[in-house]
Amino acid sequence: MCRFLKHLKPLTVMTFAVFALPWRFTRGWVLCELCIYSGMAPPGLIYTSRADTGGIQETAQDDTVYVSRLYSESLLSKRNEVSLSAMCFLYQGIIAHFHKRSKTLQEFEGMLSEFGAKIGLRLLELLNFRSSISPTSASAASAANTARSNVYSSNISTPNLTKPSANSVAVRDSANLSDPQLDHSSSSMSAATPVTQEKRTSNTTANTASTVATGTTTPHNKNEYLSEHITKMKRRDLKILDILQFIHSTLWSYLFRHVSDDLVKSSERSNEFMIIDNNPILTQFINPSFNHNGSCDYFVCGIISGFLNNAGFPCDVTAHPVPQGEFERRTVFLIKFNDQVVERETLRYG
Amino acid sequence: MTVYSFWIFDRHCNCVFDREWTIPSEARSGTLNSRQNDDTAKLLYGMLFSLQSITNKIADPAMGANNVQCITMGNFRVHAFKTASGLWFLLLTDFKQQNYSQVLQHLYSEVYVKYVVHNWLSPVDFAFTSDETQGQGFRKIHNRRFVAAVESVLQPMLV
Amino acid sequence: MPQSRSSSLSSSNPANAPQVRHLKALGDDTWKNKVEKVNAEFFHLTYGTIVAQLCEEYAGDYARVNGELFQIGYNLGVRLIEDFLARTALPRCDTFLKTSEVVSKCAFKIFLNLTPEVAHWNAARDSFDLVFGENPLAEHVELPPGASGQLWFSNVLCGVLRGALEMVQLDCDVEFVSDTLRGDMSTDIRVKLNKVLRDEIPAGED
Repeated sequence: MCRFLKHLKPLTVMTFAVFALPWRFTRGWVLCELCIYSGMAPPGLIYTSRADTGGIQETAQDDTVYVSRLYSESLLSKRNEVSLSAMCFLYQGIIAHFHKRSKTLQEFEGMLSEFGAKIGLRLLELLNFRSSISPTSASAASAANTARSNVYSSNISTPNLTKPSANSVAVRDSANLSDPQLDHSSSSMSAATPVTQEKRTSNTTANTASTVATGTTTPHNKNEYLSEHITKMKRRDLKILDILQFIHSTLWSYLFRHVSDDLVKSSERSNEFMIIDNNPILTQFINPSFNHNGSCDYFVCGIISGFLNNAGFPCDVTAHPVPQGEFERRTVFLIKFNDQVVERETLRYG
Repeated sequence: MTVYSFWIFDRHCNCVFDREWTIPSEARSGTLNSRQNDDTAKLLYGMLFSLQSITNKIADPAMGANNVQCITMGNFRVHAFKTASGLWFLLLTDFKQQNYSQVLQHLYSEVYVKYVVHNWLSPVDFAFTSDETQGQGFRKIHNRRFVAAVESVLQPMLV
Repeated sequence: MPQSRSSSLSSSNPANAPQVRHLKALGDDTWKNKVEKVNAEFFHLTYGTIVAQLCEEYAGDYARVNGELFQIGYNLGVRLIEDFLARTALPRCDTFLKTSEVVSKCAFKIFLNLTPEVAHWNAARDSFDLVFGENPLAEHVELPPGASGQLWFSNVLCGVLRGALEMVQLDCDVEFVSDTLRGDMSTDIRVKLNKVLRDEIPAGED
């Protein structure tokens, strides 16, 4: 399992080092993966769990320490769904909770953003893992899906820069241009959402095995581990455009089941980029008078900034409502990279 | 198919919304939320409530819920829709159309739920203290988007 | 086995079986056709983060965290019931047994795509358990040390149920009795009916 480590770029290893368990307990990807993923587990700790949950037992000196069954659960995407109502209700409950605790609008936006950042940092690792699934391990049935996924892999075709318009330069790659109107309805995933269309293992014991709290912790079939499908980790995104493309396509499809509506580079400032969503689904029921500054969209800003900051692209993300035409709630997420990022990019890539 | 007025009563017997059109086919006419506990609102609710109590006493409970749906007067009809959460939606109309239950359900699910329930700035319980229950309350739905949506649903029916 | 006992209770009355099937069909059909869906993992991540945040805020006072989650759930439940009624147009249930079926087959299905079992009816038939295999909101979650005996991770569900049932005039106590996150065999929520609230009457009419 440790052979994967040598494919990692140093930064990713460092990220893991922050979150990974001490070396003597490391048992391959699964442990590292889930330590990061779990919303509750503070990093770097081993929890004692009850003996009858069947944790992997490790003896260290004179203590018997149990690593909980969490670390043998599969990270393969189960593609489960809940209703949009439930999500919106939960989201509004969270907004009400932060609203009570903040005295100014800036404080509220800051708290919401920080909250989103915690999710963003987890999604960075998780989605990078999932997009590293090698095509050869896909079954015939999902071969078509993974073929599409190659379009959005990190070896993306160079962006097709269009003629600069008055205010901004639209950055799109050829694959994106050829995409027909994206279907925003939830009933179908558009063609540009390949990463979440994971290879479904033919036996579904992945779910049942990891939910059995009684004896064995490891799923019966090795194919149910995400790491089994990875032969080569996806290279860490080093260019601004690459990581923004990843956000525009993979992250947005994971969150909202469609790619974002536009990815635009500002022509006025070299460190500003914009991701545009014509109809943010989480805030669709919120009264516009409450959300007139786009305050409630700071959750998504937080996710983006958590994602980028932890990927090595320090930045600030803000949300601005910019209605246009029929899209009354069109929101622009403005990403302002720190100067060092732009400098680094120019130095390295000219 | 003329709609004369639209009322919403909540589970505390309060009128939380009323919209009356005084000049037929003139969408901007009429009053909005003007009935603060006056006789008309109280009488309407009282009539509904009494009829509902009678129904519950007469009807066989095994047959399921029995809510008042339509009351016919000499000159107009009252169409009622009651939700399990105790909300009453009322439409006062003429005789041209027999059944407005679809309209009322639409007003509930697409307008009330969308603009009042999902809007956390708007309360769902309009009686803030116990003094405002039992028909003593006075708060109304003033949400602009809700009012606009109600108008847009009912406007085609004003003629 | 508890499940067989409860299922024999509900199937002993033949009139219930078609009702139950109808409710299940209603729940499934509404979920398939009338509900917009989002990624469940995103939902679970968001929920897990709010619980983690509350735990941090209250620095280990898990009773307060439970209370806060319940309150969030209650505020959510009084609104969620309207959404539920608008989607299903179900009338008030005439028996508590029907309530249990509506909650398990329709409500959870429509919002969370889950169908818990109804079990452990008590002798007075006013209390039942909703049995989930795994904790429904806890995907890839582990309780920190010290919380294991005190924190009910999905306590928001109890608040939601209490708030929603109160709006249909059922005063219930809803609480967790077991949780797989704590090492128990299943995740159980106990719903106990205290009383049926009477509809309000206008002042002066009684």
